[in-house]
Amino acid sequence: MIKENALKYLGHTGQQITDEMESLLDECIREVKQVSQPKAVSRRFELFGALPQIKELGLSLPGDQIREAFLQCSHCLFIGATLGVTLERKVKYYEKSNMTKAAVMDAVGSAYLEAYCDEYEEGLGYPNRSYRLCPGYGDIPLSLNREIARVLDVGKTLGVTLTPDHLMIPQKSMLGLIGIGTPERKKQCGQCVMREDCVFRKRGQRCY
Amino acid sequence: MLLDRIGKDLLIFDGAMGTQLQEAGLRAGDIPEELNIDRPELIISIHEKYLEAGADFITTNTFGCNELKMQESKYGYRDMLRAAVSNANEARKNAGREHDAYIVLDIGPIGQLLEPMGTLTFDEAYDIVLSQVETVKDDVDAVLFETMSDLYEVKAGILAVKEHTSLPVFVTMTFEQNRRTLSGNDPVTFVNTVQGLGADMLGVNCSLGPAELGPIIEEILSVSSVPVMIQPNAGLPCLEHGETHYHVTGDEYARLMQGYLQDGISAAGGCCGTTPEFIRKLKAAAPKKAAPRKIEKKTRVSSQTKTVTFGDRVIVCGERLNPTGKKKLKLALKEERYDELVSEAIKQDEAGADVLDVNVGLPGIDEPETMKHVVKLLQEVITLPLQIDSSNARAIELACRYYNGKPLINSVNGKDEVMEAVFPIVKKYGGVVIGLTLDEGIPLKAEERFEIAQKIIAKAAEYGIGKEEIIIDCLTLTASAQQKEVKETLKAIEMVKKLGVHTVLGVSNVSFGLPNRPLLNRTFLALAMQAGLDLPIINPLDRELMGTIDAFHVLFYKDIDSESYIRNQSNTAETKTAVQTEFPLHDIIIHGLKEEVEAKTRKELEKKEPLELINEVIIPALNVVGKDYETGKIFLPQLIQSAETTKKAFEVVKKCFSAGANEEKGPVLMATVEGDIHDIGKNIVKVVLESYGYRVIDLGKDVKIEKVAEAWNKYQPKAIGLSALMTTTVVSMEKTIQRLREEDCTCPIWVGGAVLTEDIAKNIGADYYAEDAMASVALLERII
Repeated sequence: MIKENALKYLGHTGQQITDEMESLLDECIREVKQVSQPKAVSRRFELFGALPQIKELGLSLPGDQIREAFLQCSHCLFIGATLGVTLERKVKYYEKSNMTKAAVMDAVGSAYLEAYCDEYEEGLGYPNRSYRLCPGYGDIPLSLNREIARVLDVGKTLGVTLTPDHLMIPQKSMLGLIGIGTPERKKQCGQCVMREDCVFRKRGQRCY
Repeated sequence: MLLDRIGKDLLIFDGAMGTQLQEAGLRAGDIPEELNIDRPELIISIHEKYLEAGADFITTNTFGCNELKMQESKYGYRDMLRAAVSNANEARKNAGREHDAYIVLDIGPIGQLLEPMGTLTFDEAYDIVLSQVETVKDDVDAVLFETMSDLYEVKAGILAVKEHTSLPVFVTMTFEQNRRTLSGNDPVTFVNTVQGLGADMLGVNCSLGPAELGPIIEEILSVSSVPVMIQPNAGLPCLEHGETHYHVTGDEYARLMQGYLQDGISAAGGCCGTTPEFIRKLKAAAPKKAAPRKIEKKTRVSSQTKTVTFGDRVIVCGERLNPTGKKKLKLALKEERYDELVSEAIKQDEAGADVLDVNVGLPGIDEPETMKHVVKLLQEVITLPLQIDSSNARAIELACRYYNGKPLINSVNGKDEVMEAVFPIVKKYGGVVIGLTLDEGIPLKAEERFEIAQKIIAKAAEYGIGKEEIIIDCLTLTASAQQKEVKETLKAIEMVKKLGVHTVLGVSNVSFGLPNRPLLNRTFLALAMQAGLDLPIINPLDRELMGTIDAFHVLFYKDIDSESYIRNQSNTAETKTAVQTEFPLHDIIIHGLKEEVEAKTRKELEKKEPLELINEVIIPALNVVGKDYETGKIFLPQLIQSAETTKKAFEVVKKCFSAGANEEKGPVLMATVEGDIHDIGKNIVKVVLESYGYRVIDLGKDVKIEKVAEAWNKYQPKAIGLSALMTTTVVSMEKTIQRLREEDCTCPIWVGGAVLTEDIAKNIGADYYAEDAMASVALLERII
């Protein structure tokens, strides 16, 4: 799955993969796994009302996306994950010496982070849950990253920090929310807020 | 005096503040520092409990109390700092411990990652800490940087305190189970750097419990000549219902800490999950005095993530980042094409160098600023320690200040004025320094050079610089000019080694003016290593020279079981004859065969004129690649690979042009805009543009608006490309464009990035939008 997704991120639409490209992909997957230090944290909160609200934090979760996704949820999880800063350094290194490899490492890193988050989420033991919703998607403000980061104390627990514009460093990191208590909901391409402009959709692919 | 007790008495720190506050009702996401003002009685009572339990130090409730983190608070960070310190003072008074308990200003991580991975600059980090310290420095007894995970931030903090106060500084970092901090620093690198910077106590806190921290604590105790402190958690954190709990009890904690207390720890306390009860038990178990430790002092230099220790084997210093005698590097420095320095550094790294010499001395350039800039660029990419090579004290100082780790400084000599200028820098920034055995000239006799070495060592001692921080250069003389004196150098090495210092030599000087220089170089190197040379400064790309060192390590029993030798030397025959295909250059570019393109281009140039080759082979091949990409026949990595291959072909062809004939197009300026840190997209566009012969001036990521405007005025480029990935940073793209217009920027501005569209580009005032790298090429070919 990591290879398939990485190829997708690289804009692959069925072109022939040469032997060299295949071995570069394998090499990058090996190396990404080797230098990554995947870590994740999460914390569960009770939800109140349709807004919905987390009383424990004195926080209303903003926007339609969250409201719709969490409609039937009793709780929500704050979740954070990262592959660590060493991977980022490695990609930087290749950007100066081998840009092809840097681009592939970057795509493989994204695919690996997704796979790691899925696995972590699976292991938490909540079968009835929504998919991950992340700040920056649709009407969820990027600034919600700051709330999640503070509550999970990700600077200390994961080594993830935010720039003044709420972007995560290291880049291969994720901060998000998952609703608990809803009948399992899968992502649906046709209902995505990005459906008009999505490059994957235009190519007839799915991002997930 | 506190400083008189550190390292002698076994001092006790307090335990967790956060755990106590949570028990008192602090919620996740609340700002604990606000309680200094909202509930001073609570904070005072926690301090009192720790003092009553036997703590000698109480740490203020100011972990995140800096101007960045406290932006979200209802109070100003300075007010909270003052309140916190006043609470601690009140508690100390109430407990009647005014004469034997100490108030420590607690400083945690700033909360934003420093450059190069992050966006906060070293100077900004320095200012943030300085402002915290200045606010309360008269009312605290020491400053503690704790739970730190980034050594660079620690360095900025120590300098901020040391340059403005005489307060003792303590530093504890937090290590993961892989024995690295979250920023990748290892314990030895941490100790080596921080003790060099003059910390008064150092150690570990948080993350793990006393049992799990064992190997890290032992490692620190074995290398630190500075007193060591530890503040473990109450065991490993366990997650229950989304909340963190700790399971080690106070009794167990004291029992687990027992071993360390006997091993030479100077101060102990607790971190997450520990309570006054833990501290009471710890105090009861602790001896009054710190156990004495014996440290074998070794010469060590460090980057941020790697430490090189002298003595175990020969250390290779790569010599190639030095413009002397290198036309290409000179030109790159003059034209500020620093990428070439970085790629030269990478080549040496890959060839097996342990340390890289960096020299940017060139008439007509601002050496201190260039040195600072280059050091920062190199440490963004290279993990090897750097050897800062300059005769300009200001350049050395700037490089040492912004260097992340413990630097090697090249050099001082026997002249008093040189030592007086450089030794204070070595001492302040904790470097290792090379001493050249010359004063008014190079003495001919070994005995005279030995005397200068002695003088350097004695003078260094006056500055508090120990022998382990000095490496002596006995100076290589040229066999063609001073043949008789060559062996004086070897003799001098043997003599100097008896002084208990390591030695360095620039090896290749020996062969100037004689044929087959490599032969002389490697023979001389073998003799010098036999005499005791520890740090040859050589070209690591010379495989035979490197092989000589491998062989030496086997023969001198430094490479046990010949492991490295077997690894490095087994496949030399294979690498020499890398498989070469029979593709023509045109196809080599299309297939992106980077390894083969240089040799093939050279071969083609035997038959064709450079321009002919470009126009008839390279450009047509590139056009095929571009078209294949646009029609979806190939995808992104293949496009980049062909672009990189073409770039290499161009580099070979360029060498054939006579001086002055410039075939470069452009220049064009590129930047990822302020606030945006995602710059791989821009870097891909850059490589592809370069493959089409454009000179790209790359300003990097998170580029301040002013910097783009300055660059426009300075370089007067033919086009400016701006990249942004996030909707939020498109705003700063617009501002950058506005600013450029105010500067009467007449060149076209094109924009790109994930969230941009033709419409957005128009709305923010850009002249053009390009969807990807190939579209950028097509655009520039059309408009320039």
